[in-house]
Amino acid sequence: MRGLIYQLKSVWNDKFCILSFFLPIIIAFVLKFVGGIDLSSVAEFHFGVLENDLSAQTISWLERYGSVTAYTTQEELIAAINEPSTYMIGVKADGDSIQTLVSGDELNLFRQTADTLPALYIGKENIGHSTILERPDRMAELQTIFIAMTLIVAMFMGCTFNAVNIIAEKESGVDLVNQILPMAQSGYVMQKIFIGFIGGCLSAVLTACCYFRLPQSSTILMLILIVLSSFIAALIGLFIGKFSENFMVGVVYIKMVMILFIAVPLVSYLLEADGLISVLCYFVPSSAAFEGIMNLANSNKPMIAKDVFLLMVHGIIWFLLYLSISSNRFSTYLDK
Amino acid sequence: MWKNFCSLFKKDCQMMLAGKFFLVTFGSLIIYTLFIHFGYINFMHAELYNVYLFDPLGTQQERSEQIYPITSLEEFYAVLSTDANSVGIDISSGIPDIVFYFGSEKVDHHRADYAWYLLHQDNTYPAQIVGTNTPEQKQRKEMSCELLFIEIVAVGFLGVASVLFKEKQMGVIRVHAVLPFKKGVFIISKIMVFLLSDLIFAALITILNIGLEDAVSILPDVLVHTTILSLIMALMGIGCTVLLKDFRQFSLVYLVIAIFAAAPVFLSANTSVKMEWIDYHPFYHIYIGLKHAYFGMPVTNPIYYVGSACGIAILFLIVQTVFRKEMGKEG
Amino acid sequence: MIEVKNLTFSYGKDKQVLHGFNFTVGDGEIFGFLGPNGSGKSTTQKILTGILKGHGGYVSLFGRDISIAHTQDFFEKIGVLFEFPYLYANLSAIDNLKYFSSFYPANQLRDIGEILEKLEFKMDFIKKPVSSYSKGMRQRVSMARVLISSPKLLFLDEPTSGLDPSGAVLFRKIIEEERKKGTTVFLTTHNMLDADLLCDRVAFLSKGTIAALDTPKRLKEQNSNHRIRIDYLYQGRREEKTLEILELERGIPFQHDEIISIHSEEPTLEDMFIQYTGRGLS
Repeated sequence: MRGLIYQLKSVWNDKFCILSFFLPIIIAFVLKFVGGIDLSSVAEFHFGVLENDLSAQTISWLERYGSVTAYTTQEELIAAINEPSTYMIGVKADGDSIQTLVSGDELNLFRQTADTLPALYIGKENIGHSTILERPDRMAELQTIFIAMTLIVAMFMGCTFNAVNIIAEKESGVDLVNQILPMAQSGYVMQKIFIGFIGGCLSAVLTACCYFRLPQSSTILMLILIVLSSFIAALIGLFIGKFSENFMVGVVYIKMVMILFIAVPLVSYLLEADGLISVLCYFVPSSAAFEGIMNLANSNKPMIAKDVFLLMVHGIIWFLLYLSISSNRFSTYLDK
Repeated sequence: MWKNFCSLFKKDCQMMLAGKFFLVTFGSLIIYTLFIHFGYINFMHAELYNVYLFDPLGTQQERSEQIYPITSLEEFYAVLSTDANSVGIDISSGIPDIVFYFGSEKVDHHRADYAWYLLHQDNTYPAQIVGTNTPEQKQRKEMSCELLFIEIVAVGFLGVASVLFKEKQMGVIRVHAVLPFKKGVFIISKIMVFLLSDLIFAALITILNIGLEDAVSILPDVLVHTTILSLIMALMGIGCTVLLKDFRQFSLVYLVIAIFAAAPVFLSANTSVKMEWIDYHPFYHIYIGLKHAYFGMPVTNPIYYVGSACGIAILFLIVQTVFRKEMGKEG
Repeated sequence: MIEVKNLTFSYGKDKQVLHGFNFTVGDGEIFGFLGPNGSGKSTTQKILTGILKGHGGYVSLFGRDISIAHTQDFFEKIGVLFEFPYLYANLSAIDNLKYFSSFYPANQLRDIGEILEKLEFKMDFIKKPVSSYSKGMRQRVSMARVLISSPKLLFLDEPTSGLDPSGAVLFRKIIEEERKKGTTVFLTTHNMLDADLLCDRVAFLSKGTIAALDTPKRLKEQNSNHRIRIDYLYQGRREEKTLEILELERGIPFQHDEIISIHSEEPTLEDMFIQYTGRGLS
């Protein structure tokens, strides 16, 4: 217990360490207020036209589908079409109709749009009735995804902290001193996990408070998700610390694990993975955490039980695995 | 001075080899190449909306092949719900009704009009192609550019700090303080090692993923922008190492820089989302320059190059001053 | 060789560490700087070696004002041994020495093998990485690094630290040999034996000032109580007596069968340090 107090003191003296746990909270705060940014233009089409080429009616018609930018010369128009960061479709007058221009390297979606645009123009008078069904606000959904990702990052801070802590001890030689201290294995593991776990939990809880306003039952479920995920992240930090010889190697492992933690659940969610792929994704603990957060945000409580169960299984397996690989060191000590 | 530089350069290379930096870089190159060849170009496909038709009365005998017939109303609404971008045509009442879930105002106009178009005709009017790349080439160039940017910003920056922290820990920096050579050469040697490594990486990732033929024409420009980015990141890495107490603090700062340097740049450069302040973000301009280099559209504005050179020079002077001050504080 | 007048230095607004040092070091002299931690030894050494700037007062080395003297030429003429053996742990002794010596003109370099042999370095470790060396071996390689460039002025900080008694004797011998060649040595140390045996003059530092500066012999003599202790045998019994030196001039004033030993009760350098500074070196 006393050892833990000095560990906490060491963290308190390290201002950068404390700041890093605040980082996800700052991001969540920003995201909450950044909801004002209009991301709808991401999905819109972008058309490029020549000045004084198309009629005002045609331009109004194009503006029904997206933004229209006028260029003074053909060269400028072609350069804008070929600009790699946008998928601009060029539109020129072609008698009574229109001719579209593309760069040739766009996705099929834009190529097909460009190929069919003249036909839509010809048949623009033959439009009938549409029924638009309500869907939850895409922006809100995007924001929820960002927040869930931020929560995952917040919990991951505990992993980073623990890994860096252990590597620092190795590099300074304190690790050697630890090996000859009369400390039980469980005590050593709990001490090492504790700070990263607490930091990750606090960071995630404050991040969640910035964004979510959940009913009490959901709050408890969110807390369970955060506690379990932070514990697993802190444990993984121990593994990284154990297998890293130095900081350079450690940071590479941290990067790889962070990419897995963030990319796997995000890609799986966006691609709506199912079947075997979905099962494989659950091997990464953050998948269950991410899914649980999204289910909570969408008030899908029954599915959360599955996510909590998966996280508990992860926690137990990783913990037992770490105890078994670290027991070699302690058995050597006990034999003496 | 040349002899001193060679000694320092050789020593830095030995340190990098001992720290397995080159191995990590080579490993990254393999992983990136495999990802591009077998992952990204297969993954990046997007088709126009699926259109589903519910016509129990059989009024539309002649319809486009691109319309998918649905036999029941339940199935009709189910498929619209799961395929969020799709459009449905419900002719159960005899009069066609376009049905879809809300996306965004302008895109929804297009979805509706597209569905009407498919119902009444099937003609296409092929667009005129004004560029020279194919979709696959574009994807390869795009991803190579992004991965090169990430590699220099994330890995290179980390590598130079790692070597310098090790030297700090070994205490040899204070020994260099009393050796007979210009102290600026110490910094120059470090940035040259990483610059060389980044240039070789840039050349290899370009050639392996774009092909030698295409790569030859764009490589000089790509290497120029790689040089600018590499020098800036190496100097920032040295500056951070000198100012921060230990690698633990640095790794946390590194996380912040990687997130704040890379994320807004990718968002602005690869989508139509534009933040008002992005023009003040130096990495944005460098990334755009690098991307344009990959697409054979070199930056011709001299202000960009002059600005970059001035920025690098100022950064070097700051780092050199800070380094000298910190040398004195050691021990 | 070194001239220091009214040297002052502060690490910040309220952190003045040097309060006006005045001393000179002649060519070929071994000058000792003794003081506890925090007395200003390292700060002085850093200022003299050019690592620290922004001092007050006047300092000259090799006859030139130090504020303009820290050129490449200057560093070619000095050698600095730090308190700890700072070496590249992943390189071998020979690689470390080849690397550090590459900065000096070839014509002033000594043979690496010859220096290491002189320092009694275990030659079968010469190609192994420094990380596998003991503390004594690292200290030998560090010393080799300093001597390899044939410096005219040596700054040695705790040179015998980490060495066993025979190693310490060897290092003292080497320092003496350097002095005979005309090398000036500026020695900072806690080790009174090193200071007593090696230094031509020593300065006692305390709280940023020089409390005393003289040869070790004169410092002890000035404060000697001029007594001697004689151990002798008389009628089969071992006895001892303490006499004033003046008494002895008239002959041994007591009966004895055999004189076993005669010791002066001269104070040690440590005693003198405590007397002048009011505290010990620890």
